[in-house]
Formats: sequence, structure tokens, C-alpha cells
Amino acid sequence: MSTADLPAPGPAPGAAPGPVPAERAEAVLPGVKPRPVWSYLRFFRSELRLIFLRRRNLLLLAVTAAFPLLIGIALRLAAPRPGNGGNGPGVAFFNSLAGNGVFLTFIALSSLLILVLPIVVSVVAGDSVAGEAGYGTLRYLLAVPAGRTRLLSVKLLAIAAWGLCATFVVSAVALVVGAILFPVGPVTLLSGVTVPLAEGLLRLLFVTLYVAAAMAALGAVGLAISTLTEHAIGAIAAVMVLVVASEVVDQVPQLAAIGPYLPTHWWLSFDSVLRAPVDTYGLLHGLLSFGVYLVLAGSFAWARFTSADVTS
Amino acid sequence: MAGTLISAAQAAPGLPARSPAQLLAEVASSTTPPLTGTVVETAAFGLPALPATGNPTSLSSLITGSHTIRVWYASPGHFRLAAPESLSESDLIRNGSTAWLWQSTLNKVTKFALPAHAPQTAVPEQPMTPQQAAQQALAAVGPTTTVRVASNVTVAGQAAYALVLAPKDARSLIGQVQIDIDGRNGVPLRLQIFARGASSPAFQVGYTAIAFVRPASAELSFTPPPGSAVSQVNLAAGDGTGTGHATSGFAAIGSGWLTVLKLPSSMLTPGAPARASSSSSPYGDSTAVLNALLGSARHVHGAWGSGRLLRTSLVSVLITDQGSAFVGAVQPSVLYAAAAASPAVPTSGQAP
Repeated sequence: MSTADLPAPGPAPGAAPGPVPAERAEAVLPGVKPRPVWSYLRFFRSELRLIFLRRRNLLLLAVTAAFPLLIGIALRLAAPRPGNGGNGPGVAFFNSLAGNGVFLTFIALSSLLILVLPIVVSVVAGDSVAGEAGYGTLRYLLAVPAGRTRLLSVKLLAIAAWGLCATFVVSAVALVVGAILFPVGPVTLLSGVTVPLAEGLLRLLFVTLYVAAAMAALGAVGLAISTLTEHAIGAIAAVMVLVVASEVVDQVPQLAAIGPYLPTHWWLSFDSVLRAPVDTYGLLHGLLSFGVYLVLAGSFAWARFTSADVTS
Repeated sequence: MAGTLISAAQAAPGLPARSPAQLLAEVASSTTPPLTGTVVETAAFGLPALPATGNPTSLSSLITGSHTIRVWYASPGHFRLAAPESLSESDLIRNGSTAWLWQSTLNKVTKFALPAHAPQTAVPEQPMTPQQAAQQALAAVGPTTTVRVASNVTVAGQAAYALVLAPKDARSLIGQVQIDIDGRNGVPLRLQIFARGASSPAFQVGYTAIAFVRPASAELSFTPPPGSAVSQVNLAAGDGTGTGHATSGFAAIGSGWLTVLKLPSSMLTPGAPARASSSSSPYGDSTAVLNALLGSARHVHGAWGSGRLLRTSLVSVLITDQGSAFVGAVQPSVLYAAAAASPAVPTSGQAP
């Protein structure tokens, strides 16, 4: 899953002399007890603290949490009536919401997936390496025996954790708001099959995890772009341009052939979980797509970062 | 589409040799075994860009792009078809003498009471499964058609015979129709219609995944979800035939591959009284689709009169100024001949 599993750069014959492998730099440090797992976790925790205690990110999370609240109130005021047949433009599940507040989570996730969640993830992912380079803290980070591969894998894990957190915030807020504003009961799936509330919530959990996986893949792309520049804002903008371009291309019928290969194409396939029986085809293809993007972007970031000259 | 690429890349699977007659008999005699699968319909008629709709049953979604239907089939009286769309789904479930149509975007259930002795009436007229689609094509086999068995193909992982029907008359726009038939139990797995001279099908419907296993009974039963709007339609009383369509003005001209369907152009032209459907109706976007189609038609005239001609790779449509429309998978000259041969429909609404 992380770039740590990738093979370390071996001394290839004829290769140009690269930077000193960090593992070796660590090995020559005297008097340090080798406790790799513990130090890795400590490193991960400090990275998480860096992300989650930054005021900008907390503000971002608060704004993200406000969206489900706003959507819930707006839809409550719009007062969907069962059976009137009118489907609000672009609001899926709209008619189901009248009978069940659980559907606010799906409405919130599907609408925030278009722009808000990608922004939340790309801000952190684009900032991850480029931000450190821009502040000039990256060389100090590399001066301590962290190892570039390990640094990158910790960054990636922290971005994935951030995406998971943002997705769960959306789901949780939407669930609470939905439960307050709308009735809650057995959940009617897209196939017209009604399942008990407990199973509906279990499916909601899987939907949230699926969206979090999509955001982790986007985060890996953001990390890869982040290793290319010292300007965090450039990396963030590049990720957003990529997301929007991918969504636009996905909407063009003449380009349908390349649709399945786009990074955003499978995001909304979380609806596969809401069918009976579960549409494993769409689900597995989505997860496969996320995995491929994670590995490709992770490999790119690793190849770039472990061979780059860090000057700032 | 992926199935085509895969089958082209693989060597032809080995099956016992069959003549076209043997294959036809096999198809005619075989009963479809219980199966679970996914059918993908792809249409590429070379039409202009049509207004996009999210409605799987709408006209534009059927004649352009790709369409997926999941199939659970136990017997003619017990099956379920599901059309998954992004964040929505439409389901048709037949359970004995009751059929249900579920539309998730509308949160709406339509309950059909069916006559017990006419198992096919619940099925929509479009070729929804390869079985129905192939049966329609096989009915066209006659002296007008070259029938042969091409090299075997693999469809949805199954070794299959390829039965090819080609019209002998060059005025037909259809190059050939290929029906891929499962090698083991004679189930039609895929139907492809190629335009004349085209190497990729203009229309195809076929399984991309299939397993000959009986679906669980839970997947074939349906209970209207609480809070949904349920409407009832009784098809049992009307013997399943009187669906209320006016048939005046319709006529089939010619025969075989050169059949031309004549219909009053008020059926197609926007501004007809039948247009009063609201946007929430399943076919409410048809007007927009037809407008887009007619916008690309060009004016033609001849000894038969004048009108507008719409040409696609597979279908030609001629709308005469006299108020008739001619539709056929034929070259325009056949439509002109049909227009010349048939008397004009006197239309009261048109100023001279």
C-alpha cells in the first residue's frame, strides 16, 4: 500500500552516483537503539499532529462539516413530498430522503465528492512536500535520520488518514443532521429492496470507506505533484485542475472510451454498495482504479523524491 | 466493447461443427436455462449529439451510448432485470402473474397484473436480452438473406458459434447481423448489427458476464418499499394486446430487409398534440431528442415530393412535407420509392 514496500535503490552498475541512501545514514548513527516500528509510529504521529493541528486545516474541516448541515436544512425546507414524482435537478436520492434521513449521508457524499472533498484532500496533499520545501524545513527533516522513503510513506499515510477523517466527518455530520431533520428507519436501497437500519448503517460505513479510498488515491497523486515543486499553492492548484479536467472529460460522450481510466470516473461507484445484491463489478473496478493510481503516483513520488536534490 | 476486443485477441475456441440450419434448430428448440448475468447494449448509429438524460428508459439513452442491464433469470415467468445508473436504478421484476417496475429516482412502483398464459407481454418492446433480440433477427431469415456460420467466438467467457445473416440486396444499409450462440446450450449470447462496410457494430447487445446458475428466490421477489408511490396497471383484462396505441396511419411497405415503416409525421414532428407530457414522464425528453435529430436533417425533393431526410449509418428517416414519415434500414432511394408509391395523408392541421 505504501511506498515503503518498494525496493530500495540498489547500486545499479553504471548508474550516476545518487544521494546517500538514508538507510545507510541511519545505520552509521552510533548509540541509537534500532526500534524501527516505534520510531515510525512516532514519526507518523508527529506528521498527523502537523496536519490536524494546523489552523488552516481545522478551518477546512469545519467548513466541510458545515456543508452536510446546509444541505440538510436546505432539503428540509424544500420539503420533498413522497410520490410527487419531481426529482430535483442533480440531487440524487432526493425522493428517498423524505422517508429516511440516512439518505442525507449519500446526498452529502455525492455532492461533496464533486469539489469540496477533493479540495480538502489536495490542500493537504499538495502542501505535504512542497510546503516543507517552501518553508525550508524539508532539508532539516532530511538531515535527521528519517530516510526519504520513510518520510514519503509517512506523508502518504498521513494524507490518507486526513482524507479518511474528512470523509467520516461528512458522513457523521450528515447522519446526525439527517436523523434530526428527517425520520429514520429501514433503508430502501437503489434496487427497491428494504433492509434494516443496522444493515443500512453498515452499508453506509462501506460507502464511507470506499470514498476514503478514492480520496487516498487522490492524495497520492497530490503527493506526487507536491514533490515536483517548492510552491504548495501550485501543487494544490495542479491537483484541482486535474480533478476538474477529469470530471469534465468524463462527461463528454465522445470521450467515453477513456472514461474508465480517469482518476475521478469511479468515485460515484459507491452506489454499487447500495444495490441488492451488491454490484461487485463496479465496486472492485473502482477499488482497482484507486489502487493503480495509488501505486503509480506513489512510485512516481518515490522515484522523484529519492533522487531529487533538496536545496531548500 | 471490451468483450469484442478480448474475443478478437483470442484464438477461435473449438466447438463441434454446425451448419446454419442446425444452429437455427438448436436455438429454436433450446429453452433458456436459469442464468445470472450482465447485458451491455451499445449503440453507435452516428447520430448527432443528443440531449443527455439520466433516465435509462428514455429514447436518447437507448439509441446512443452504452447501457447495462443486470439479469437474473429463472424461467419466463420469474426473472428480474435491473438497469443500474449512476446513483439510481430501475428494476423490472416478474414473479408469476405479477410484475413490478421500480424506479428509484421517482421512488415509484408500478404493479402490473399479468395474464397467466401470455408470458411475453411484460417485457418491453426493445430487445432487452440477447434471447429476444436474436429471435427478432431470426424471423427475418428468408430468401433475401445469406446465412452462414463464421468462425467461433468467445462471448462473456463462453465458447460460442457465430451465425451471420447478410442481406443480399445492396440497398439495405445493414451489412450483416451476427448472432453469437452459446456452444453448450444454444442460448444467444450476443447480437451485433453491422452497417454496410463497417467493421465495428452500429448496435450490439450481449452478455459481458454470464453464469448458468439459478438466481436466489430472494432476488426474484419484490415488496414495494415503504413510502414509495405504487400505481397499478392491469394487463390481464385487455388480453395483453390492447395497449391503447392508435394504429391508424401506420403501414409496412416492402418486405424483408427493405421493409419501410410508414407513420404519420405528427408522431415525430414537435408540435403534435401528444406533446403535452410533463418533464417527469419517462418519455418527456423525447421531444428534445427528436428536435436534435430533426435539426440535423437535410432537405430533399424529387418526383415523390419534398421533405427532410435524416441519414445515419444504419437507419434512414424521410419526413415528407405531405405529412408522412418513412423509416427503414435502407438507402434513401428506397424511401423515395415508398413515398412515391403511397398516397399522401390528408392532414387537416397544415396550411397549404
